[in-house]
Amino acid sequence: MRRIIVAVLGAGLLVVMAGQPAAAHALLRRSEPASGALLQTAPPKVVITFTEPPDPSLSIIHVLDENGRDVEQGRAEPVAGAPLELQVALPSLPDGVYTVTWRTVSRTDGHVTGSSFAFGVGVAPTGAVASPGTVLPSTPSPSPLAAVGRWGLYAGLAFLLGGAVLGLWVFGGGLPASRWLLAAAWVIGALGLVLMTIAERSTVGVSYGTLLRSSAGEQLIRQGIGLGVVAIAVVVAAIRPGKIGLILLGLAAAGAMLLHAQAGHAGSQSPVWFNVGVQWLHLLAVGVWVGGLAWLLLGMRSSGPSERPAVKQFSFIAGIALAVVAVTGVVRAIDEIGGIGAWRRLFETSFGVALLIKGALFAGLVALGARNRYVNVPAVSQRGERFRSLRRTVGGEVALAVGIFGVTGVLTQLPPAAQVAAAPSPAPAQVVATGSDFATSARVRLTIMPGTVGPNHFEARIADYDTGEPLDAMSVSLTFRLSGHAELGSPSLDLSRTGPGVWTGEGTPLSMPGAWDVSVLIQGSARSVVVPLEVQTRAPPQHIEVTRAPGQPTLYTITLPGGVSLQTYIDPGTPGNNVVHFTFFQASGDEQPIASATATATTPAGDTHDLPLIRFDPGHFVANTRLDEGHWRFGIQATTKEGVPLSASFDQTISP
Amino acid sequence: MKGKIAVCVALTGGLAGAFVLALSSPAFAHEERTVGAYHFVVGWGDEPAYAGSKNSVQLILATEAGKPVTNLGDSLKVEVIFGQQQMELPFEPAFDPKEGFGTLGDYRAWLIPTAPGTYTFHLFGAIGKQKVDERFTSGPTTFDDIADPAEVEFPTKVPTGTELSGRLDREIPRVNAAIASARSQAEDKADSARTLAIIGLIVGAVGLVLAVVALIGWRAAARRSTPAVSAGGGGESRS
Repeated sequence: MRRIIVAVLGAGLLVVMAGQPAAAHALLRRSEPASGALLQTAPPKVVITFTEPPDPSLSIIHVLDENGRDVEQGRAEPVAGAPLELQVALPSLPDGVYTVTWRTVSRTDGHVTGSSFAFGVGVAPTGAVASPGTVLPSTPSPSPLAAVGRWGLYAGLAFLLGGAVLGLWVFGGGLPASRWLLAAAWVIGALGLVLMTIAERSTVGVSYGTLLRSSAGEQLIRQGIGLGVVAIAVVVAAIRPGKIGLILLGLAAAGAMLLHAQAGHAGSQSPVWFNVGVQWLHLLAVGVWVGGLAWLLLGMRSSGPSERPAVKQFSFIAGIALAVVAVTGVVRAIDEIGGIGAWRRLFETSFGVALLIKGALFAGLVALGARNRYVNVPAVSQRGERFRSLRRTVGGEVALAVGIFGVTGVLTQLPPAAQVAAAPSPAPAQVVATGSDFATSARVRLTIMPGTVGPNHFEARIADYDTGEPLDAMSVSLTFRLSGHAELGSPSLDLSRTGPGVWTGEGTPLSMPGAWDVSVLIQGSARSVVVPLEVQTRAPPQHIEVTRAPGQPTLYTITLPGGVSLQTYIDPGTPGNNVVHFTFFQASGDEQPIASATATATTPAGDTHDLPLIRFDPGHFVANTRLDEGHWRFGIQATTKEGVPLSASFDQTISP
Repeated sequence: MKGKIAVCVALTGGLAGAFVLALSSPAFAHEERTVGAYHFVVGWGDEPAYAGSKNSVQLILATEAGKPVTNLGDSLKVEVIFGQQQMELPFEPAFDPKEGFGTLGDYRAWLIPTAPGTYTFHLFGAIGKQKVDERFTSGPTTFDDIADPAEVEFPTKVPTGTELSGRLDREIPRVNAAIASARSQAEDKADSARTLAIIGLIVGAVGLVLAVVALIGWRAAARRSTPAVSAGGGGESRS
């Protein structure tokens, strides 16, 4: 028995740990503008589509400009006819990069999700905001308070339903133990709901009034009303024992379970009636089985002739309930994982791992049940033997069931694996280009990581054009050219075969930002093909601090890898002749000596030209240039005396 | 005085000779190697070398002392290797001492490289009494790989003959497969139509038979249901 309890506690701990990197329920499915989008004209609004309907009253969308100021107009609002969407209006935005931060509460299960993404108007969304193309969903880890609350609710309702069923079908309208246990079970369930409410308010971070006025609060109120009805039934069953009271109790507990099923994942998955129905059936069967077991354990004091038929009868009911639990559980699991074909999600998501642990505990429960069904029950009912063994095994079953309730409490707080898969995963830091040769004999997918100027990892996947099968080759090499920069030559990189059709290599051929022409030469045993590709380098994520002082040019301090920073400013920063300053600093504050540097300026029209640099100091360069009114982007690529490549860029709007 | 003039002339001549020698040495990417008593300079005759353009394997052969070898004859051959393909070619002199054109010791093996990539020149045979078995492979440190001509084509990029033939090699099976598929679909549809027609005929025939049987049955039933009329009854009787 102790071992079982320890195992259950260990499993619960494991589930909580597995749930740490949880995503969320109302995950971002898509947005308009999309993450990382470069728009030519400013959008009138931001619309976000989630995987579950969000609760508008508890959800927030902020749109921040490059200085961190909110620019949205009004609160996030629902979109008529689109329950999965929220929108926020925007004023006429000037060119620049904007960060959308959002936090939402699922209308279905009340869980919180938050994330951010960036888009650009007139300029690519790089720089001081979230990296383009990245969506970083985050949500609080499964709350222990909420898990305990759900455990209490499940356990209380299961005990009440099990008592009603056992009393009606096994004990002829009576209860095998004290009637006041019904009140105790109700108190446990009610406390569970209270804890769930406290945990929800804590997670959402609003007042109880606001919470209870929201759709998430509405679900909690409904469950509270359900428990109120159960309380009346408990009072009736306790005061006037008999079949009527037990029937009322059973119906009330079943109704409360239905309300709980509606407030969970099943309530958001289509077809709702089917999923809620299956989930409800699952809860009912669990209640009959586990609740009945608990009553049996409490009611069986001896193996007397009067109790032997009860054991046999309950064994029959438990068998049916077990079958229903297994079938409905598998149906729900398949749906929440995303189908049988998505079985890998069992191992790749927190939800899947929690489900596996629940399944393992359930298997243990089935094993104990089988021992009772085929060994203990026949012995007790026929010969009055093995009674103590029966009680021990039933006790083990109840302990395992309590553990399963705990796992379920965590499981219901995790996003179903199918929803996690439906949400866009964070885009890795890489650039991908695909193409084929003129003869349409080969397809190439070239992945460059991180895709920024400097050292990169190159991976070319080569496949037959028609069949998609990996293509055999004797050698694969890449040749790079940057249009307008003949002085860079045509650096090449030989790749090594690392698998069927997979060739990789490391190198620094991308020495400047821009759109590089890459020729992939695939040499076979008898012929060779060239696949032309175009690769746009990715701006590296960088942190920029902007310092503004009256009468002074805006100072940008850009943090670079290795503790190096770049301070840059444009003097005077108005239309006309300007001086652009670039100064590199070490972490110690001393100037960082630079071996060579090149700088570029991108005009408001999108044309990029080199800035002639003049060296002032070992790490200080200036460029004299004429700037017109509008939004400019400036970039610098430098190499330190130690040979470390550095790259940075910043945007500034030139205005009178 | 005469001595000084002689020294100046000698120095000037020496410098001029060195300048001429410097100019005559290969200015492009070639691999140089001394093997026994001979010095080999090997590369493409035209560099940068592009696929689809006439080119040559160039061998500038001289003695170790730098004297051009002009009497190679046909004792030395080159095997051009690309992947697992190889082709043997003879060297021809690209100079004529009598006419005075070309560079002495410059031998060529003419070919049109049709595929971009890495090539190996396998020189084998003999020079005089010295046997030769040397391989020279293109690369960044030796001589140029064959490049894709699209890099320098302007304003319109034109596919090479190899690319066109490769495209044809790819498209013909696709077209044949599409024709076969269309034919198969047409045959399937024709078969279906034929089957439907046969089924229609059978159904029609069965319907006809059923109609005849029903008619006969109906008439028989009608006959049975008609009450028999006695001869003197004055009623109508059908037989």
